[in-house]
Amino acid sequence: MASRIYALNEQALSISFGDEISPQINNKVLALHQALQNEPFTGFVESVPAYTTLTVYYDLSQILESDINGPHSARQIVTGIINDILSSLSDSGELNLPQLQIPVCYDLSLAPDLPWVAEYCRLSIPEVIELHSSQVYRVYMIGFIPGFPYLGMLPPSLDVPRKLRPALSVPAGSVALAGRQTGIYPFTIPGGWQVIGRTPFMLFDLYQVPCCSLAVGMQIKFTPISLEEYKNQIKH
Amino acid sequence: MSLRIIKPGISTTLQDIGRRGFQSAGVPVSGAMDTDSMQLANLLCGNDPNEVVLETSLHGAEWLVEEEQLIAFCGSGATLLINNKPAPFNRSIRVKASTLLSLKPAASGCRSYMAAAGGFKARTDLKSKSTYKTAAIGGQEGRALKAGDLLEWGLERKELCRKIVDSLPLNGSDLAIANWGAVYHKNPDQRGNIIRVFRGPEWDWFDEQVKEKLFNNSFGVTNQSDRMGYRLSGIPMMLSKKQEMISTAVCMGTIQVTHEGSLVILMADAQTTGGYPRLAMVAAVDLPVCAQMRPGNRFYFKEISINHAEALLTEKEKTLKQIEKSIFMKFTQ
Repeated sequence: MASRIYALNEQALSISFGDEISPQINNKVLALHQALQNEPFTGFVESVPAYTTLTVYYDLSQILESDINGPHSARQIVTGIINDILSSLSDSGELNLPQLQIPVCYDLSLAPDLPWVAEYCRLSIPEVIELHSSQVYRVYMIGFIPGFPYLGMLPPSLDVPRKLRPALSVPAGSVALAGRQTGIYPFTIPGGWQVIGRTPFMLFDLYQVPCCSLAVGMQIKFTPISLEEYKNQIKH
Repeated sequence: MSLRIIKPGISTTLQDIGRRGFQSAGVPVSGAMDTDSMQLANLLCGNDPNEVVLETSLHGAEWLVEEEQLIAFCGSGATLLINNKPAPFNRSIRVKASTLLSLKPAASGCRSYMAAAGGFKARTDLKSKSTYKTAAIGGQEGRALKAGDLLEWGLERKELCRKIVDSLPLNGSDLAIANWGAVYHKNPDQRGNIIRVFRGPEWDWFDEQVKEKLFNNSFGVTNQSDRMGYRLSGIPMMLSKKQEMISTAVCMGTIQVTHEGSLVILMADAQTTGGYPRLAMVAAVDLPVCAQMRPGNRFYFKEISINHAEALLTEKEKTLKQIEKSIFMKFTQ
């Protein structure tokens, strides 16, 4: 697999598979991530998938201890390990990409920025809802705060800028837009994305395994629900 | 009950070495900001170096020991008083029940760490006791301590803890201070106002003239600084041409450049991913130095190679192992 490897710090390497957001590139990130989960090397700490990169964290002293033909830097050793794994992965490997339906209530009482988004996009509110809930999105990355999924791509007609001033408190479950991305806030926190609905779906739960309901590569579709259904399903 | 929090102090939280293995779920590493001081405090109590400790910023804390214990304070940023009398940092101290610990102002530094033999009872979430407030994970109900909290000492004490306690007879006094201590000596070229960095992944995005300014000007820690990161004041670092950054991994020590050209050093509660160019990375050995900077402090960046940073980190880990070994030897002869 074509890639570029660079150091993030003394105990982390990033493997970059390209410079654009695409399912093909993100699949390569995921394939390496899964290979490392299945067969972690000695000294492996964790790997973090993003849009185009996988970042591999490792334990410096454990890596150096494993250096029998040395002396090498830990970077050289881990780069060698990663290159070996990459050469064994095929570009067209079968990936398991589970699909998930997530209910979203677009009622204006839970969607403070929906009227603004409709006006900005020159669409009616029902058209925005229809567009947002008719696509299948890919989870490209989990980041920002625990469990926050970066979902793409939104249709160009829903491309909206972030708020100039972030809202001081975005409620947990808020479904929001920014650029060609849509995301869901797992916790109540300040945030700059445009909120167009809310889900009763739990994204992050310490007491379930895994703690994060979504993972990179998952295929997500939003299902509109009424305010009444939302209230019946809400757990958080 | 063991430690009564009369005044919590500034953002006082329970922290250990941090939470590894959950960054792919967006969960920050967290953990002590100054891990050297955390580990030293634990070693002085006979603990595992990564046992959970209390981290507090500057002064203001007043904690009452309700049940006899072996404790140690490390770090800087405050002056320790025990029952209103000055007491040293970097020493094992045995205190009897009903002893008041208070942290008063000091001229420099920022973060103090208190270890207790056996650690503290704390919530373990995702394999760590470190507090991460945003998601209410770990520590004391996932939050900073507040007045009225009661912390319990950890139940499992190592044999070494007991040996250190036995070496400190109270003889009717409130406290007994060890006549030995441990200090981790930072590298000789470390003068406290120099932070060593190496080139970050987006180093080449910036013009040479801009990068020269990084090393020829001082930068200041602003009030917008917390466990997540420090926003710096100083000369802006602008990109000559706008480049689209696709979000990718960031970590403690990453120096990000915002759209306005401000530098932000990410710290222990750093987000797992970010979308700003990563101009440089703080050498891991100097992260504890960053952790001890307070708002208003000024410092310079100095460039080293990543190979040098790796060698320094290896050396540091060896030194801490040696300190651990010598304390162990001292009590097992």
